[in-house]
Amino acid sequence: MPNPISSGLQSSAATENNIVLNQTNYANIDSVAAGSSANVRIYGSSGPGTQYPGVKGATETIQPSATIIGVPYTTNPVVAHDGDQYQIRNTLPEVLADGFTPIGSVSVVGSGSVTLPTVSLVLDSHGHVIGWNVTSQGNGLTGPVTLHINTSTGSGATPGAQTIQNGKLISIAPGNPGDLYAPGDTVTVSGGTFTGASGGGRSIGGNGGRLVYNDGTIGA
Amino acid sequence: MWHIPNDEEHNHIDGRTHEHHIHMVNDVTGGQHDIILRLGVDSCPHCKRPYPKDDLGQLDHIQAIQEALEMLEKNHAAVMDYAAQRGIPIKVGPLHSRVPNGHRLAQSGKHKMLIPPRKQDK
Repeated sequence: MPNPISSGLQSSAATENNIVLNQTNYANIDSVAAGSSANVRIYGSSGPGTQYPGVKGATETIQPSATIIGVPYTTNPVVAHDGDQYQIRNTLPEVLADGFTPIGSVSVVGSGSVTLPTVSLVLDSHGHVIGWNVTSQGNGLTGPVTLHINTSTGSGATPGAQTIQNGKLISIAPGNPGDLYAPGDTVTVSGGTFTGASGGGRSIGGNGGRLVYNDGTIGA
Repeated sequence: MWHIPNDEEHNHIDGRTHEHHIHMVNDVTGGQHDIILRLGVDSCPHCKRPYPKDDLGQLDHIQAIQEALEMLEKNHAAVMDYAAQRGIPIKVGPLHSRVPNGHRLAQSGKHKMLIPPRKQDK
């Protein structure tokens, strides 16, 4: 009776080119602007910070979520997991080594604009600016906005410190109140610092198990 | 809760790739979240040629950890609250090491389950 032979792991060198394997993952990958560079996020279907399943043959494992900080704009990196940690590389061939599990690719978009907030003045009866009312918080801000008061009578008012959280202008502290402002005066908002737009990505695994097409592109 | 295990393996810089790897673990659910700070990626925005870096002191990895922690703790609290309100067990990962007060750990097949307190115990 023949005895079974255990050959251990099969290497890439022993397979046909681009053979289809039962290997996939359900990662979501995207990028979000974070100042002068972007953060690439890897996460499960429940959103950032949640893990996702990866499948190899009959085995499903839950993979860590991740945040990769400092990724330049206008790049299209590829993310892989080397068994211990994530690796981010510039091209697909750099993550094809045996032992790496390709996870996904992402477009880190390098152009975009912020959605500016809208602000109105809070005046006292003497025409002093006693507050800055954020009527719409805007989105995608990475720095303070510039505030200009459109007035024909007032002068001297300046805003205080701005609180920006998650790209939104939360509040503006009162600054110098100035004098002689009128109820009809408005505020023009600009600036907010240049930011890249969010970039989408896709799981390499979402292609029926085939990791890479023959032409070297990532399967859709 | 979420924390960085106190050993080199979970907080180190890969000297070859110039990446700071921080591995965070949730000792209640066994969850994992990795933070990777790319330390050497400044490059020309047009030709992508990398610039040499001689001052990494301005990078604030504490802030990166703090931002991730806030997100993870918020997610964790929401899930624990959801499970407790409905009495639904939580399947935990192999890195689970702590049972919160009022909960108990049960084996279900090959999985470990965290059982929230019974409603009348709350």
